[in-house]
Amino acid sequence: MDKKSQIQIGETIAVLFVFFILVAIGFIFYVKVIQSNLEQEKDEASQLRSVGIAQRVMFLPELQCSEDNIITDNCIDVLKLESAKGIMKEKELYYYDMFEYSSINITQIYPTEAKWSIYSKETDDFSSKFVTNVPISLFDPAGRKYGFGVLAIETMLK
Amino acid sequence: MINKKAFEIQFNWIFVLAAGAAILLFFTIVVVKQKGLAETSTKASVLKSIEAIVAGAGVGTDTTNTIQMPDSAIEIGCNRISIGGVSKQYQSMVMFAPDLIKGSKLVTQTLGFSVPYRATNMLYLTGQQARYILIGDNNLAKEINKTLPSILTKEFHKTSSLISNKNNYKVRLIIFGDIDANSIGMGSLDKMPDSDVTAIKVNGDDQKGAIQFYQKDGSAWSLKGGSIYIGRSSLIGAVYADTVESYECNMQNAFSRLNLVTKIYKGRTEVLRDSDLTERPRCIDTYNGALTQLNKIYAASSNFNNINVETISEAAKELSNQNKNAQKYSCTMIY
Amino acid sequence: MKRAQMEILGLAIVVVLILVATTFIVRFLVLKSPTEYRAGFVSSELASNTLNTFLKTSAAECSQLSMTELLQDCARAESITCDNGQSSCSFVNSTAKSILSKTLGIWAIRYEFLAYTDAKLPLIKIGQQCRGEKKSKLFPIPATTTTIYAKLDIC
Repeated sequence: MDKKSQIQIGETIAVLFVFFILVAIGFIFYVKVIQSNLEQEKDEASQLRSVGIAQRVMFLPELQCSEDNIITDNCIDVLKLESAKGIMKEKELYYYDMFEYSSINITQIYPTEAKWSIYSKETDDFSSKFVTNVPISLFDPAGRKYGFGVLAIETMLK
Repeated sequence: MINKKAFEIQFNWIFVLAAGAAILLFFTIVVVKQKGLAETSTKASVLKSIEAIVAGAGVGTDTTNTIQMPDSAIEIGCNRISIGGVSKQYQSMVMFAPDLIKGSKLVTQTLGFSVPYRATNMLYLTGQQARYILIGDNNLAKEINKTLPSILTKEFHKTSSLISNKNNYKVRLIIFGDIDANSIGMGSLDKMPDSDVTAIKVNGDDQKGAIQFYQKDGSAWSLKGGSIYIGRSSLIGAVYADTVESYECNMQNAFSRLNLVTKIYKGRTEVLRDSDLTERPRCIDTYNGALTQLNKIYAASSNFNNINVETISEAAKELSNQNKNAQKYSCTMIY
Repeated sequence: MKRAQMEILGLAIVVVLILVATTFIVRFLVLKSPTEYRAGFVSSELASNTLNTFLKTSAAECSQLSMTELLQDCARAESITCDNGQSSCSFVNSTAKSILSKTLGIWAIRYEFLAYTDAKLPLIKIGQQCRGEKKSKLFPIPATTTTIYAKLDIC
């Protein structure tokens, strides 16, 4: 091979090298953007799951107040709650489909202070944790009176 | 000299070929990987949407929705949803749907399962490409036609007639009253695969009744099994579910939920009866009567079968009367 | 300037423009800020849930009358005296203060609770006025001669 050809091949190799470097830079940039979008989507999905779990608790027939099968919104029946807390703990696996890794507590603030823990399945291996507090009426059907309570839902998402 | 020149030209070509192949290979790998990823991601996002529908079903009762999503084939089994290789298993899912949903438009409906108190919401899922044909002239047929969403591809015939083929991937016939399944002319439907043409024959009223499941067998109908329903929401479940197995799996799950909720109502009624504030004998009698019925429902909801459905239906009627009594005597209502 | 130099300059300008455009695309399209679904849900629900729940609550010290009934009396004649000697107005005021401090106060959420028939002369006023963005819930309560408004602003 003469010198001119060697230079030509050298040039081609250099061009190819630069081309691949540019492709690699572009690829790294693309991966970074995709990664950040994925993280963002994951975060949004976690938030939606947390909201979904909170809504499911609020509409649970096991807890909701009703009169003549007509549901009262934003209300938990204290007698149902007393009954449900044991059953829901006993059937933790059954309720896992609905509440996943979360802990659900109801605290009465007025007239007296009281606390019920109805579900608790926690994990140390979580990527995000959300606490949702929902003010809720606590209806005591025996005395026909309403208390002021807070439904606290802590969701842990992997 | 000539040989040297020829070698140079050949080498140049080999070099260009190798470099070109390397570039082509690189981009082919990237494209193939990206295609695979995009397909999995689409399947996962469709599955996520369905998961959200299943999760949201517990929140709203008596709702109907259409959901637009990427064109896909969703396979639904007992407690299982899968799209391609991506699937989700549930512990207990109450979702009545055909075994395969095709297309980009999903139709969802929810109805409360109340016997007599709400135990759960029943979720129904189907595609707009599936065709539902209701045949019958009794009140139940009219009621079911009204309950099914208008956005569904549905037809209502008062008498049995020849069914034309409209190129739907699934056809479901719902036959009411005394009409014999074999009196319905298959028409051009006999060209469709047997498993895609199914029917149910309903005998009963709004409260309870019997359902027979049929599947096309050539140009005739073959009976695949029988079951029962309790309440309208359960009958609607049989309309959407393709097979008797799928229907009974969902009903068993609904019964499990009813069992849990009944246990809670039992505990609540016992507390109400024993409460210091419940002094009036009429209230105590009402609660005792209600507890008898709740115990019956609790025992019968452990398993979905003919006898248990009968027991629950009777107990539900009685419990509903006790609830009215509670209201009449100004006692706290049972549910 | 020679022609070649002009061409190079033109090329440089094109490269700079493409870079600026790419930066904007990356900034506004690719790196969009995440949607705060949960925060939206929580704040929109919080004001209405808190107010509805509070108004429905039975007052243990006032013959289990609801806060709505006590507010109606407060706007009318303050004829109800609770077991602890407080009038309807001061009972609603102290209970609201206690409940809101144990909920919104603990969650470090600033709020303002008002009950009024005339916005200039509120019957009850708890918390600080919101400056800037707020989520508000207004609940009209019919009384014999007038309408009482219960309002909760979440800042």
